[in-house]
Amino acid sequence: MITWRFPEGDIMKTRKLPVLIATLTSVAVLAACSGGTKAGSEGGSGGSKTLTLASVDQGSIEDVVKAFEKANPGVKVRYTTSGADQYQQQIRTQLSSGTAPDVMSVWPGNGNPGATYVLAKPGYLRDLSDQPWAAKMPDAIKSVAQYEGKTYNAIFGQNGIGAVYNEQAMKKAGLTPPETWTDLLAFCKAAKAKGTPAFALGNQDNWVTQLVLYALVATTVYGQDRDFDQKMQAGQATFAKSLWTTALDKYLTMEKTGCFQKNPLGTNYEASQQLAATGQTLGIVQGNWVIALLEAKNPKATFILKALPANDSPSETIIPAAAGAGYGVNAKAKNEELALKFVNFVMSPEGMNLFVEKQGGLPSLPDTGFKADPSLAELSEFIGSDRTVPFLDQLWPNGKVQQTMLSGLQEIFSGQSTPKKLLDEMDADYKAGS
Amino acid sequence: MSRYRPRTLALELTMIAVALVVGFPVYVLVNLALRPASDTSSPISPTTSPTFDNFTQAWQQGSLGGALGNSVLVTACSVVIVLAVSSLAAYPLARVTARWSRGTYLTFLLGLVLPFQLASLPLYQTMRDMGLLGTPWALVLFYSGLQVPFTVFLYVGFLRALPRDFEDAALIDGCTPLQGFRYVVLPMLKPVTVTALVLNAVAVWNDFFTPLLYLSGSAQQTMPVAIAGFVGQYVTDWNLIFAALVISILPVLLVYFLLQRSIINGFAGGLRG
Amino acid sequence: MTLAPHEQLPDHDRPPDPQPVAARVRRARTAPPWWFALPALLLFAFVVLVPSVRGVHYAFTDWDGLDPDFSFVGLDHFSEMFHDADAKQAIWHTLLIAVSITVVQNALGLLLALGVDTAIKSRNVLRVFLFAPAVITPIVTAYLWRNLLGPDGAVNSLFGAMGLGDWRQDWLGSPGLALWAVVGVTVWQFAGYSMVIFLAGLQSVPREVHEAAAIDGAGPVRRFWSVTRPLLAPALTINLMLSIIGGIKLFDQVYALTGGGPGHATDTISTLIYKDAFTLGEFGYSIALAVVLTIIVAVVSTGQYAVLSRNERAAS
Repeated sequence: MITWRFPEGDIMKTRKLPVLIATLTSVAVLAACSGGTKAGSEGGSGGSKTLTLASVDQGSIEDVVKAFEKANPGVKVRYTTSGADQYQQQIRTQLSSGTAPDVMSVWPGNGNPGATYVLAKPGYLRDLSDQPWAAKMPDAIKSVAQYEGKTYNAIFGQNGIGAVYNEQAMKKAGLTPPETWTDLLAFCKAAKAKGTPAFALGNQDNWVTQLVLYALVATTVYGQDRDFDQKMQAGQATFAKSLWTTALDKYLTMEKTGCFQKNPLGTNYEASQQLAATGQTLGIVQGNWVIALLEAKNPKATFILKALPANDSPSETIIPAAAGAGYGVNAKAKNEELALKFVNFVMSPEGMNLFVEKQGGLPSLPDTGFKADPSLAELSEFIGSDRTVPFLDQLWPNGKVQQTMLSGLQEIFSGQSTPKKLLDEMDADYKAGS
Repeated sequence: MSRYRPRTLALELTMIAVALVVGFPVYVLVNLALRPASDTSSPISPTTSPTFDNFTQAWQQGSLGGALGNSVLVTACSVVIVLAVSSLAAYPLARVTARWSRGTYLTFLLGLVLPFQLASLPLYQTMRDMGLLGTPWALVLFYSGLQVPFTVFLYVGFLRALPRDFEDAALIDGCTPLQGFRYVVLPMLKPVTVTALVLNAVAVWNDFFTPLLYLSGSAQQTMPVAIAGFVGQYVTDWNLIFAALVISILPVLLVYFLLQRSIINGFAGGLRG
Repeated sequence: MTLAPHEQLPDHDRPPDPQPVAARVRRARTAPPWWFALPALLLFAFVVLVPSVRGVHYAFTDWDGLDPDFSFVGLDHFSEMFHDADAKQAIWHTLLIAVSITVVQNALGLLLALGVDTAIKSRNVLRVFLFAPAVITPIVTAYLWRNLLGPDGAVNSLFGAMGLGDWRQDWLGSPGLALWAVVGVTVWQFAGYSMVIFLAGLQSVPREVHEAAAIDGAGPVRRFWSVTRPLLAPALTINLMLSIIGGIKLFDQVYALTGGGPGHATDTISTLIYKDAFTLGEFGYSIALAVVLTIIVAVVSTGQYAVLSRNERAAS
């Protein structure tokens, strides 16, 4: 290696630099030559033993790949992981250029640039209806894994949104989870009086803004009318003239009652976890995935997920619960055989349990022998008794409705917009179609 | 160079104070990188039990060794190519006043203006057709072209302000233009070269999306891609990420530090003397 | 005296017969040839110019970025923009951000450069320290600042501790402040970047000129104004151009810090381009926005460049 030491004299300094650069360059170029050729030969003709994969399941896909490689000796999985934003950008560029990997993360339903309908419609995904697990999917999952009656998405897990309570903080405050809307408001007031607000709210990250609303809409809108989505699709209903107005109103009532900590718009997702994990709030309204994160931030605490009540008859309460992102196979996969092997592994009890355990969710198929974490007992029970609705955006015709909702909610919280205006805008975007 | 006076000391203290304010977030970064994930005390308070575990863990888990090699390779190759072609191009563009020169210069400036969103997809498809995807060469080619406008702009700006006497003298003495460039112009441009080297290196070194896209499907990755591997949508271990990040910025800062030392005391003044 | 050009040349490179003076001068005027620019031009054309021209046509289509089946829609996207309140607001934010960043970042960068281009002992370490923020990726600076600027973050705690409790703000959560928080963080990150370019300018100022001025009895302020400032003109031009262009195109810092929020309070043209192309799948419209962005950058930077070149000529 080169010694990084410049002698003091001017002459030496001026002469050393080009020499240094030249040396570095030649070293680098040499390395590049060998590196480049190596990549070419491995990548190009890797043949039957190499699978390419792009995933958004950071933190869990790594273990699944390891298990898959172990179960299939000699097989090598080349994978990239990235956050949702970058992934969507990457996968769309690669699909339209014919360079996409064999297997890729695909979101359920519609309304997202990497969702099943969006990718299946132009023919980029391979039909997976002939795979053994396809017929076993429960209807709720099937509806978002299929496009025009064919299955394209190997959805392995499902998640729910509810109130996640910090059990130690609840005990200290002497409070129990509320079961009706009236109780909820009383709970918020009591919690606030004790100096620990009921729920942490990280609305600075705009995707968080929707969670409380989803939890309220599930009971308020779908508790009355399970066919609301069909009516929206048929143009017989609108957001602005439905119980969405009531749900949105309740969200703001919660804010006014002091259910959330101060400055939700200045608080990000990470900071909201910190509040709930350390008992500065009694809980947080989030998806079940947050529990693992809360436990990591405070290993001594225990957490439990409960439905967020939205009216005064607990038997009508519904939880938003839905399929998480799954995997699709590239219609032009270089190694189709191995790609199918991989999605079948993901849908096998071994792969599925590994995934959902790492992600803190629940498996999409029944009978995998998965032992759900006790914190998710209520969610399991609601799913088992069909008291759930999919995440509301999964059946919307385009991504714009959700984006409008997310920034609109931030605008309402900062006094720049009104509920009426927001729902009208969402109706307009909905009508614009796909 | 002026002597060290009491006023210099006052200035020194002021500048150190300013650097502390500017460097505060960097302190937080290093502070967090040195603490175990279980330590959830305020990010500002100094870590009570500093550990290098995060660094070793980041190095191993992220396979940062290989990524570092790729990053050094791509950055070194691209920066050397960019500096070579841009400084050479800047010479006639700064010195010749003919119409073609002005037009070419403006064309380069257009490159500063164009948002990359326009070129991104067609370029990716060209690289695909050339079979370069999955190799570091695609990245070297990409950055070598992408950074040209910025670098030409930097060189031309500074070169125009330098007197032509020395070049003219060299040419009168029978130097070819290439020799004049190599032995007269380039040495005068050393402060600019160091600046351009460092600023280009930072741009190439930190780019995330291009390597993610261009190297996907191959066994290779660069530092930012490897580091992003830690950052999940829901799972985040920031202490680990910060350790990886500190590892990744050190080489660039080290290069800048060493190069800066090499040009203090007014090199250009020496040349003219 | 280190590299006096005559001494650098090997003897055999010199012409054997001395020529008449007039001929020598004529030869001096012929340098340097156009083909010096060729390698750079080819690389630039291949990577930037040609693909950009090829990419422009998407602005006139309804392509979603995915479906191979799409049609031409003419100028629809551009007329759509005139009714797009988000786009108009974003253009305004973009200009506001660009101008503030350009002014503040360069003022700070120049002061920093002057400060570390002195005899102080820590200059080398300080240069690295002040430049360090520019090396950190935006994702991480954004993460740090989102915590520092939070309601209970370090910035507010600091104001509290200094007895300036009234200055405590919800920096990123209030629509009126978030834009300035973005400007502040960007300036923090890139003041050192400007400093590096100014330093290159200062390092090109011959010491002798400074010392001669000092002997003449000129004070530091006069010395700066009459000696350093004119010689800094190229660095100033470069810095102002880079920061106005970078400011107009600013994406990473905004996207990672606020995502354009709260609401649309910090959306810029670049964040809209990104959201339209990859979150909403309106690729055609996003390219149309990119074309508008190009035009804005071109107009603003050409105007600024014209003024700066005039000043530079007047200064030299």
